Order: sequence, then C-alpha cells, then structure tokens
Amino acid sequence: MELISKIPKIDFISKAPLSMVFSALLIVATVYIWIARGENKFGIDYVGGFEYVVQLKDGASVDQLSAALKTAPTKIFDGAIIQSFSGSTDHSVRFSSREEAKVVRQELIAALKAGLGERFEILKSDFVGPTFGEELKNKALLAVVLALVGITVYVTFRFEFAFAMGVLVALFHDVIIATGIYLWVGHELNGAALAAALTVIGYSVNDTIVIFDKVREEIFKRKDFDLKDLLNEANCMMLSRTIITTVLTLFSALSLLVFGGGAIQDLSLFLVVGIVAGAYSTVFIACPIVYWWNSWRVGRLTERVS
Amino acid sequence: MDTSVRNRLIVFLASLVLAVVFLIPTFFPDKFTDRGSWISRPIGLGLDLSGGVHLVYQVEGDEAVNSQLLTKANSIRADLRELKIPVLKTGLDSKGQLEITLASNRRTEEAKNKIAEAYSDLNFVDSVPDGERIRLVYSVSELNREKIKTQAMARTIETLRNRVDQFGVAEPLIQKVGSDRVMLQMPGVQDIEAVKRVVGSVAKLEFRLIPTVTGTAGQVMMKDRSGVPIAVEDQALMTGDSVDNARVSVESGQVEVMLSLNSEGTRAFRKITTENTGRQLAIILDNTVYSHPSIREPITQGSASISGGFKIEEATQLAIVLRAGALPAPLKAIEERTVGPTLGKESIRSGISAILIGFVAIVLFMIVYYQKSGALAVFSLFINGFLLIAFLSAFGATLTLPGIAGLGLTLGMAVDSNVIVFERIREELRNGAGRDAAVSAGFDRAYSAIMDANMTTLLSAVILYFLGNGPVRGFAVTLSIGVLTTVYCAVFVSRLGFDLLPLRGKKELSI
Repeated sequence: MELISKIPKIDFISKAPLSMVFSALLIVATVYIWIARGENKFGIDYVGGFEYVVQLKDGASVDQLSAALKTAPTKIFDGAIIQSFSGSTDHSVRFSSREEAKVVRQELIAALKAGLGERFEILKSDFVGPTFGEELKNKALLAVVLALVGITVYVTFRFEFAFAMGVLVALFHDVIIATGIYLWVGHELNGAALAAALTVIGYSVNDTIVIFDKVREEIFKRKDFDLKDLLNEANCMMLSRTIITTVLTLFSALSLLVFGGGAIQDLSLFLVVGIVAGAYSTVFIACPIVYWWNSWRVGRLTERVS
Repeated sequence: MDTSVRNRLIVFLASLVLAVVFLIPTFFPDKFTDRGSWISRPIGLGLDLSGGVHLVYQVEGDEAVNSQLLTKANSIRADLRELKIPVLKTGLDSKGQLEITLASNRRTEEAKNKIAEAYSDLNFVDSVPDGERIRLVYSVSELNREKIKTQAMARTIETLRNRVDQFGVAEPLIQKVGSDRVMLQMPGVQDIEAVKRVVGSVAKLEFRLIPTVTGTAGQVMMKDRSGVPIAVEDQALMTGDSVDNARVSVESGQVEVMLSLNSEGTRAFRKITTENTGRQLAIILDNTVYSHPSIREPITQGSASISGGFKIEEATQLAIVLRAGALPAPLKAIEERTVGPTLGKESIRSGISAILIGFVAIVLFMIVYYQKSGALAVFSLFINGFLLIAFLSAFGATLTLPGIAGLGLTLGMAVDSNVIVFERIREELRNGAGRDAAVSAGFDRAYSAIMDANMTTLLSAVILYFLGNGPVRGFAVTLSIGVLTTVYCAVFVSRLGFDLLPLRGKKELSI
C-alpha cells in the first residue's frame, strides 16, 4: 500500500511567500494573545501562588464552587481563577496571596464547607513562592533558548549554516505557534508546557533533517543542480515519509490528549500543535529559508560541493 | 546461518535476558524491598502518582551567621567580665555586624586586645564613642560567613533526617538542592502542616530567668502561647544543647514533655536551680514562653519538664523536635505540594489507557501499510517498550505522570525511525535494487537521519532534565532512555529481523 504512489511535482518554494504571510499572521495572533492574557498566562510554577485541585461530589456545580469562594469573608480568593478539566469533576482553583500556606488552606476549607457542605474533596494543593517561581521561569526560558541554540549548532556541525538558519527559524515558528494555540484555548504556561516545548524543538527538527539529508545526498550525486529544484524535489520525494511519521507520532500525542487527563492533557495539547506546525514548517518555512539565505549569500552551497 | 547474523542474534537475546533481570524487582516488588539486594530496584512512583507531601525549604544561612555571632557575643561578655570590663549590651546592626557596647571607654584597648586574641575570626571594623560609653563593631569575613553557612546546611540536612526518621514514613527523600535549599518528599503523607511543624520549626529551646523587677536593663519582652507579653532576662542560662532525650508523659490528665538532660546539662541545671531558688524560670521554645514555673528547690537529678496545656499530638511532635535537636537556621518553605491518594491512581489508569490506544493505532497502521515489514516494526516497538521499562528500573528511576506521557510519546517517535528505513527500502526497490541490496542500502542510508533525529531529541531531553522542575524531569528521563532504546531497536533489532526472516509477500519483500 502506498500513500502517494507517484512522486508529485510541487513547487513548494515558490508558494513560500504565501505560507510566510500565513505563519506571520499566526505569530502576530500569538503575540496578541500573549499580551492579552497578561500575567495569568503563567501557571503558579512560573509566577508563584496557590493552586488547589478540588473534586466536586454529589452534583455540586462549578457555579456553587465559584459562589463559595466569592462569598467567603476573606479577601484571599478575590482574584481566584477556576479552571475545569474537560469531562471531569475536578476543578483547579488558582490565586495568589501573601498569606501563609497554613492560613490559606484553613480559609479555603472553611469557604468550601460553608458553600458546598461535604460535597468536595481537595485532591491536590500546590504553593510556589513568588521568587522561586520567577527563578523557575528564568530557568524555563533558558532551557528553551539553550535547546534552540544547541540544535542550531548541531545542524551547522552536521550540515551547513544555511540549513541551520532554516531549522532555527522553523523551530521558533513551531514553538511560537504552539504556545499561541495553547494559550488561546485557555491553558497556562507551566512545567508541562516547558516539557512539551522542548520535545517539539527536539522532534520537529526531525522531518527537516530528513529532507536536508536527502538534499545533501543529491548534491553529492549530481554535478550540476539548482538548489530551488533540489529542495522542491526532496520535499516531494519525502512527502509521504513526512506525512506518515507525523501522523504516527500524532496517534500517540492525540491519544494522550484525549484519554490522558490532568497534566498529560496540558503537555499533549502543546505537543499536538507543535508536531503539526513542525511538519508544515519543514516544507513551507525551513526549506524556503535555506534557499533564500543561500541566494543571498550567493551560492555558498554550490561552491562547497564543486 | 551467517556468523554475523548469529552473533547479532546472540547480542539481541542477551539484551533481552538483561532486561528481564532488570525487571525482576518490578514484577516482584515485595521480595526486593531493600536497596542493594539486586542490581535494579522496582520502578517507584513519583509523588504526583503515589500521593504525598513535597516541600522545598530555603535555609536562611544569614540567620545561622547571626546566631553564631550572638553566641560569640555572649562568650565575649563572659571573657570581659573576668577582666572586670563591664559590657552594657551586645547586638547586631542592620548590616549584620556585631556591636559590643562597653559601659566605659577607659579600658577599650584592653578589651580590643582580648577580643583580637581570643576571637581571631572577628574583624575589627570601627569604634564609636557614645559619651562615657563606647561601641565596638566587628564583622566576619565573607569566607567565614560562607563556612558557617555550609556547616549550617550540613547540620540542617542531618537534623531533618533525624526528625523525618522519627516521623515514621516509608521511603522519605531528603535532598540538597543547590547551595542553600533542601527538598523533602514524604510519600503517603497528607497532613502537610504536621510535617512542617515537625520538620520546619527551628526548635530553639532556652531556659531564662524571669526578672524580679520589670523594666530594668537586661530584659527582653516575649510572648507566651496565648500571646500575652512577658518579660524575661536577655541571657539564656541553658539551651536545647543540654537535652539528651525528650518524651511525652501524661499524669492525671496533664500532658507534659519530659526532658532528660545530659551530664553537662544536669550540672548546669543544678547550679541554676540552686542559685535561683524561689525565682521563676521561663522555658522558651522559638521565642515563645511555654511555661515559667517557680524553682522550689535545687533540682539535681537532671530532668525538667515542659507543660503548657498540650494536646497529645502536639506534645509528641514537640518531643520529636527536641530529641532531634535545633536547626542552625530558620527554614522558609518556597514550594509546598500535596497530592491526595486517589488522584494518582486515576492518573495512572487514564495514562496507561491513552498509551495503549495510541499504540493500537500505530500497530494497525504499520501492519496495514507495511504488511510483514510493518509487523516486524511492531515487534521491534514491543521490544523497545520492554527495554525502556527495564532500563528505567535499572537506573532506579521513578515514574511520574509526565513520565507516562513520555513513554507513550517515545513509542510514537520510535516508529518514525522504522518508517524512515522502510520508505528508503521502498525507494531502493523502485529503483530496481534486489531484496537484500535494498534492505542493506535502506538501513545504511537511513542511519544518519535516524541518528540526527534522535540526537536532537536527546539534546532537548537532557536540557529539560537539568533545567526543569519536579515531575517533568521524569518525562526527560523516559525520553532520554527512550532515545537510546529507539536507536538500538530501529538500527539493530529491525535489521536483524530483515536478515533473519524472509518477510516474503506477493513480491520478494512484503513492505
């Protein structure tokens, strides 16, 4: 069985301006969401604060939970955000407070008892100090930067700087777009998102490397070549491979997203978007960038080989 | 059979045997409870799955330095008293420098010489005249500060170990994080406040006299347990260092903590009670006055008791901290997490079903699309999962919720390597290569792409391990080990399959 029985001839590179505009729009949208979400885009891992996972029982509703927190005599829960996990009776309550963890817990239990009686259970509680959160956020940022730089260096070392440029731009693109959609559906950036971002960076470069590998192989085979044709050809030859590997990894990621629950959902949503963006950016971002970069630096690849 | 194939088959079978050996403890966890009895351990569950308490404490090292300085101040005061140089007061200024105020400036040089001679680690900073009085200011060198902090850190960990051991929890984890932090994990525990009371309180015990006349010099105000202010002398006559053991006693409904003093403490206590019969002695814990009984007669047998309307639970916790000793510095909780016992079970169940569903989809696709070769890829995927779990066990890794996701994802990414090879073989077949030539070229040419793809994933995973926090590090661990098993399975195991099995279909190769 074959997905694509005859290798197609598609001029991906010439369609690049269009795809670049499309990606640019998505990136602008991400920047907008990033700004619009303000501080609440970060989970307590990265800004500090309190988070409780409350399970509602015997038909207690989210509205009752929210009312219980609003009517509490204390000011601790004033800015509380309630987030519900789809298809679950578990709800996360998040807020920041200068009070001691002990006091916060007592007040929360009192407020929930007053509003819900015995129809709740606290499954999980987290407190992260604000300075510690800030520190974790900086570390997370450093991790993303290091991974991007590390992979760029690796690709430069294994291929050529022009290829590394393509990879770097494509990876930035994937992480930004995955972050945008992740934030847009209401998730917050936390440790799970960091794990997913780094996985996307490590994984989405794979398709790109496979194409570059093919391009390099053809460069060595042929005496005379046009880089644009070669990139297009490699993309076409590898098209079924790109699609199949992406789909197979998506099987895992989607199944984690749909059936995984809790923290796994956060992680896999980011992954799913990142994996799709990664396949798209291989063809429509990374390859055109290599071509443009190379044309600008006047045929460095050609010199190398001849 | 060709020798190369035979040798590779032996290596493959050996790796399976090794994996089984690694996995024995995981399948029979009851028989391998103690560490070191086998080369691997049962795969443990991370706190996010097992439930329990996770705490990260910041050790306030500066406070340890301050408290050492104040102890020094007391002994300087005593030394100068021997030289008949009265010290009016001692204390720390805002920069953490030690201030010693002499009642008169006539014998300043003598005092300075004595201090310079006996306390070489103190650096003289300044002397500030104040009428008749004079204030001497001393500092500690940065090197000494660091030394004190390092010692405080070591003692904190030791004391926490002692306290946690007495808490009676299976497999607690105490770990130094960075230069000034301690991480503490206690699986199965839910009451984080109780943990913080026992583990996190400084437990500085002091015995001080209550002044007979209030409002004179040499007194400080403290509060008792109900918050009522009470004046006590500013010098402690005895501290928790004199305590040898502590236990709870209940007599006619009154809960007390009985202290047995060590020999030095017994001597000191005898002296205190003899010299101060009739006065009140305050028993102070972390700057709160617990009780202040009157000394009726000299106490010689070396025991004291703290009462104060305790509940049994409270007294038990107090006895634990007094036995384990005081912390050299206060602790500040910067991260506190508790996970209930039910959450983890649900998570494991849904996580595993998610992996299985994804896996079934992959299996179906591979067999339909690549037929017999696809079946071989599925076999190699099984081996991959098996080896991955075995290596997790060999490294004593714990499985966290993100770690489960890592397991599922690894399988999804691992099959990519097979696809790269298979597509390459198809290409070679299309170009007219024979079966063996196509297989051989397929693996050889796909090799560099497979290595590159896995190296970049490994790079990301390692960065995540070092810069991530908490359970996501479990994800990094599964992903990293997964990369290694994937390369082995895709390059070595699948290749062996092609060399060993005919994998014939309608054509020469079913792919």
